[in-house]
Amino acid sequence: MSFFALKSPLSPADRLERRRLILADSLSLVTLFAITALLAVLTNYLYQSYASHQVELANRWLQRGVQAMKDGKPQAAIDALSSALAYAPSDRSTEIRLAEALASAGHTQEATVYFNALLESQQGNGLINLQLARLAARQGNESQAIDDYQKAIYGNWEGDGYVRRRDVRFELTNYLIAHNRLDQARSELLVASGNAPEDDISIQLEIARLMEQAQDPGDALHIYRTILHRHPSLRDALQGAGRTAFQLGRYLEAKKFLARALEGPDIDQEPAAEVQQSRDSLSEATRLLLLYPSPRLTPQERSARILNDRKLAMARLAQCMQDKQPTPADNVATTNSPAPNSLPNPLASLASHFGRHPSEPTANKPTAAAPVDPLQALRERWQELPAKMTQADLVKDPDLAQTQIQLVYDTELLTQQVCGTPAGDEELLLRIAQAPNAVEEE
Amino acid sequence: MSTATETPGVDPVPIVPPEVPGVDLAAVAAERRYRPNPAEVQRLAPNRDERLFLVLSIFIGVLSGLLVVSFRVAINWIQVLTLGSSPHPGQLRLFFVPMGVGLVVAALVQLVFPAARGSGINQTKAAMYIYNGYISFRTVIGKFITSALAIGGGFSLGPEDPSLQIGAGVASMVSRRLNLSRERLRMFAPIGAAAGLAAAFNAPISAILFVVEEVIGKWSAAVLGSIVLSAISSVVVARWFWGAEPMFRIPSVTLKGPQELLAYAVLGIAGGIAALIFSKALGYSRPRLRKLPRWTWYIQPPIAGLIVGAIAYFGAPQVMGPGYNVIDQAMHGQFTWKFLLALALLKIVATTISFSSGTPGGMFAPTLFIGAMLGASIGTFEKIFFPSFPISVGSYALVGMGVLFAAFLRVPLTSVFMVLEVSGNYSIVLPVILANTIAYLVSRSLQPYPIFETFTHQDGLDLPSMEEQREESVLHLEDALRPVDLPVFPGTATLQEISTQLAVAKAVALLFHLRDGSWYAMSQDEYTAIAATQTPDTPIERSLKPDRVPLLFPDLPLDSAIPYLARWPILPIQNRASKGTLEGVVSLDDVLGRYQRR
Repeated sequence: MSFFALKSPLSPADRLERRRLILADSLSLVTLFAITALLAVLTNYLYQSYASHQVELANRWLQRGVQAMKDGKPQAAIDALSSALAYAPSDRSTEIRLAEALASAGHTQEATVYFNALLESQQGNGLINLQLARLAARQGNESQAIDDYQKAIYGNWEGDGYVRRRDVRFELTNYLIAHNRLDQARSELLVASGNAPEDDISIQLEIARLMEQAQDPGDALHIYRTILHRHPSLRDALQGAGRTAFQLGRYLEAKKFLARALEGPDIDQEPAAEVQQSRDSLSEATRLLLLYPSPRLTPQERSARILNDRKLAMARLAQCMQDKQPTPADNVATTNSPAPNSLPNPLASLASHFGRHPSEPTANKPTAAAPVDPLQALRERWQELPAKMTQADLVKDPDLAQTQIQLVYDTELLTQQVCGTPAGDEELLLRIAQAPNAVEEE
Repeated sequence: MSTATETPGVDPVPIVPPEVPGVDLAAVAAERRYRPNPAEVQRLAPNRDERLFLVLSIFIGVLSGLLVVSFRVAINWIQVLTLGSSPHPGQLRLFFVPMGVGLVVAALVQLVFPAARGSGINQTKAAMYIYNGYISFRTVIGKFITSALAIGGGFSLGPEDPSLQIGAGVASMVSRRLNLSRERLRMFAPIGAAAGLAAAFNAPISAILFVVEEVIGKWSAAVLGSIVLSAISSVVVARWFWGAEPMFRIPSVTLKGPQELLAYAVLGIAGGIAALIFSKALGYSRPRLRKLPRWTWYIQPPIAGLIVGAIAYFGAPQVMGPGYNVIDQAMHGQFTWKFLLALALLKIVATTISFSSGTPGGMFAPTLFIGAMLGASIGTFEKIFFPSFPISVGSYALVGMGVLFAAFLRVPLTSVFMVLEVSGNYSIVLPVILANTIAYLVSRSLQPYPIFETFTHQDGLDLPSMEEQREESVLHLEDALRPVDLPVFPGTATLQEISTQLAVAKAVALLFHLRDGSWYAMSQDEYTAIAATQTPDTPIERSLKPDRVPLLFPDLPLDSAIPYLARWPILPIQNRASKGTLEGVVSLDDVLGRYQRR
């Protein structure tokens, strides 16, 4: 390589001088190259030594941070993870761990800002959105928490995305239930149920359990039944099915499920409280079915049960009327009271309710809009029926039997509202009255 | 150009030539004796310097890159070995290590490397403007060792300015070895400076712009190519080791409305004020500490280390060292806005003390740190209290860095590109330009002198003001133009016709418009000589000399006319759109008169 123009006319001495100059420059450049190469080797050695040490330090501090989190020392974890990040600044998982540590240590504001900053660089990251949702929940920001939970569910997840999304959905559902947003919780559970694999029993059970908590026993019972279709003797499912059937007033079905749940030699290994609860429910269902005037029974048997229920209802009405006997002061107050609509008396609304009842006799119906004592109205309905009624009467006159049993149910419902929930058989009769058609539904 | 005595609020420091930071005058003299005759080299090989210049630029870039990588690694090693791998408040070593390191650094600077003191920017400028690009080997080594010790040992200083000086020193050593001309030697300082800074920042464009804005002061085509070559070479080396990842990563910034720019404008104003506080603190403390008795120069760095260590021990170890990892943490929103603000203020205190004590180390990293903390603090505050603003704390921290860079170092163009390069994110350009410009204007209006110029005055040097140089208006020919107030003749005019008109109108010069469209200017004396030797009916064009006046236009620089005025008594200035149409004329008196009126 020549750096020099060769056009200029030079004397031989000058040419010699120029050659010496070329040689000197070449030597200088070669020396420079050698120095550069040597420096490169030294720099590389120095850099590699530090780089490996840096990796070692990052791992060491990361492990300390993780251990500190496990030990429940979030403040120590923050220090350790910050140090780990100083040596491995681009490690996203460490960043997320640090943010979690900040959240655990109660640095909610810092953690929120940190997670938000992480989210900016990883839009749609499921884990970060989940953490933000938890932080928002902790700060009492309900709408933000729900929004972030939703973003987490539909965000990106590393590894088994389905499982992570499902877990987040369960967490969201629990949050919604805790905040009495039951409609939203039920919607989430329906989606979860639709996505859940049928053969994953534990997940199905979890969904059904959450549905019970979300006051959706119907869908819960459906899931329990589906599980029992595959695993007929699964005790958790039998108990759940019995419990939800009981809640729905399907006492016959509840009895069957609970009886099956309580079968088997290993029942003693189950939690005692759960077993006792199942036993109580079974006992109640059995007794209730004995009170129920089922259309499936023979007319004689049915009439006998109606008469029994009639006796219970009459006693209940009498007791309730006695309890609610108006005092002289009450009478004065009632006389002086203005329009009935302006009274805050619950009995007035109950009276209007019974006034619309299809089974209510139309004869002797009061024409005035004067306030009506619902118990009195009920009593009048009782008085319209024969004072004495025999099994034969009821067998002979199915309409009378129907009118009688309806009056029994109305009595139970009204007295429950006026005088409170009864106990014993009367309570069971009240339950039948609440959904008589569901009792034997399967 | 200003002098130290003209700088308000700055006490002049007596000049002691052998102690001028960055320059060893004895070595300069020795070097001058060693240098062979450059004129002889130029005669033997006229193009040698020019060609070597480009090749050496690459070598300088590579060598600077390697040295800067080593320098950064050395800092990291020293940091881990002295302060531990995870400095946290309450660790006793934080309290004592900076003091011990300060003692060692002070001894080294006072006894072995006196030229290593300071940041390195002004030393490089001094080398270029005063000492023909000379920076001694000892200065480079001293800068490397003392800065690495100080920064690694916890002093609140940065590695960029020393890297710049190390690069310039490498350039100086390499160019001296090859006996280049004095002009070339002088130009190698900014080439090496660009290489050193580019490797330190991993940002070639910013390094080039900084050298142009702060070291050279103007765009020079002669040196720009070499600066680019060396900067790129050094960045290639740095990236070989560090990787091509930008220094900081933030997500894309999408402006959702003009109100967001308002928020960035607030940051610009805050940055301008913070820069003013920082500048005032440095401008006040540095000369006062230097005026103290010389024996105190040994204890100033240890005391500064003790104060920085105390800040770290009692709660803010983040202020130690350059703090790039803390900037990253702030960008990721790890701190509350109050703590970020506290860090910005504590960093100003720690840096002022560290730098004023004479400990070698740079101002770039602390400036970026303060700006980032300020930006992140404002961003976090707005995010909490104005949740309707779609704010990214990271982008605020990044813009804050640029804001303080623009306002404190007074390099507006570099500050914009620095932010873009260190983040690799061009979506932030609009907020950066707006905030930086506001901060720059606020700083300029409140602080007449840039910080490096203030340091120059304090050191008793008289270097050109880059800010003034950048903003110096260039005079053009149109500024000295006067109407055509002298006789103009066609080339076909006879001597008799000309003489008749000249008898009526006296003129010191004549202009002739020739048939080929060119012009000829003639003095009265020249005409008289021609008229004496030719017949009256001779057309003037036959008697003219072969040369013609140059084509000059009103927008050309005023000094472009000066070389021609030795030959021509007057120069016609033509219209670019219609050649032959005169805009006016200029004479030497006109040009000089215009310069004198400046």
